Amino acid sequence: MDKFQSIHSFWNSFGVPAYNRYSVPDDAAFPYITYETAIGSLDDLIPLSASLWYEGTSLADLSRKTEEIYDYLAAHNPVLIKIDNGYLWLFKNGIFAQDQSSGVDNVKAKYITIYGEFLTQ
Amino acid sequence: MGIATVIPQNTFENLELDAGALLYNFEPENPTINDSDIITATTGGIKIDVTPTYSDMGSDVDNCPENTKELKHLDSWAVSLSTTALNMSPDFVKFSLGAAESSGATYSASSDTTVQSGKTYYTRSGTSPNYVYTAVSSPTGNPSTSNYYELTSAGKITPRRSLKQSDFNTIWWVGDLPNGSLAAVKILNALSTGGFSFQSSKNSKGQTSLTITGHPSITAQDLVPVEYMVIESED
Repeated sequence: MDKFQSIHSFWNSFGVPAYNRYSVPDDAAFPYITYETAIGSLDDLIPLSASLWYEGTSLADLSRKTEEIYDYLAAHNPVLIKIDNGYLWLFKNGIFAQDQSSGVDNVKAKYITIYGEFLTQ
Repeated sequence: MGIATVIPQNTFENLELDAGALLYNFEPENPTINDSDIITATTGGIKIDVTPTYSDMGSDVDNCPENTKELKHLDSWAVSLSTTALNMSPDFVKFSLGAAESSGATYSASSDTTVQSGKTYYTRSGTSPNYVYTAVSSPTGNPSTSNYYELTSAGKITPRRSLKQSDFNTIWWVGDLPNGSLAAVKILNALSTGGFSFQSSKNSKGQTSLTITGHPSITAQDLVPVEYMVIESED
């Protein structure tokens, strides 16, 4: 698995589809996650942000999924994804999630920031 | 790229990640960590020093170069662990004092027949002498028939003027390696030698400095009181 695939794999492990922020299918159905990719190497602290998008008027499901991701990072620390020639190390650092405007009345969103370090050359 | 711009192939397998945990108990043969084995939460990581002291036996020998290896003598090892703890529990304060005594809180069965406003009642679980008392958030009914207890004496910790051999214990630091393996440092005959040093601050968490020293024993004088090991993952 390469570095970009590891980011895709992580965000797709929470039971909702996850797409690169710039590659969301036109027919993508809610809920889904959009994520940004950035890569580096050892000692590079990389912010890896994502947004959760839920349709509806209630925040309950959105909040629940946000906490599920938070709890996963807390419970499995250190979160390590095996990649070619090393690991992707993921962790929380500072503010984890905050509200995000969706620009659409019936769509709710949360903006999540986690950090990663590629334990590779 | 130059031929010397390389790192070992196994670099990433040998990286220690995160602060690790300080433990009262740990079994390398069965590497699990029980909550009750964790000594304290920490901040800023954990520092372990195992420092030798050497003498140059040739220092007063005329014409002898300094630090000749044949005349270098290993005098001793200093083993210490230091960290900043986030913990004000009686058990931890007693641990950090080193030589200290604790008198536990005492409880008695409530004789109240109705819940008294403002009074805290407790339920009891576990077995003697390790009962666990838990505050009841919303007491109701007849406390005397509801197995409710009341605190009759708060516990306290007091430093002791003398050291007991029972004040020394084995402690562990265990940390994660990327492949699921664990790095572990075992400190023998460990005693908190830095005392209790606490700092509080506005809008922040109180912190306690902790320094632990390992000691050799007169019954095993050649045994340096520290061991390092890697427990390989079974995956």
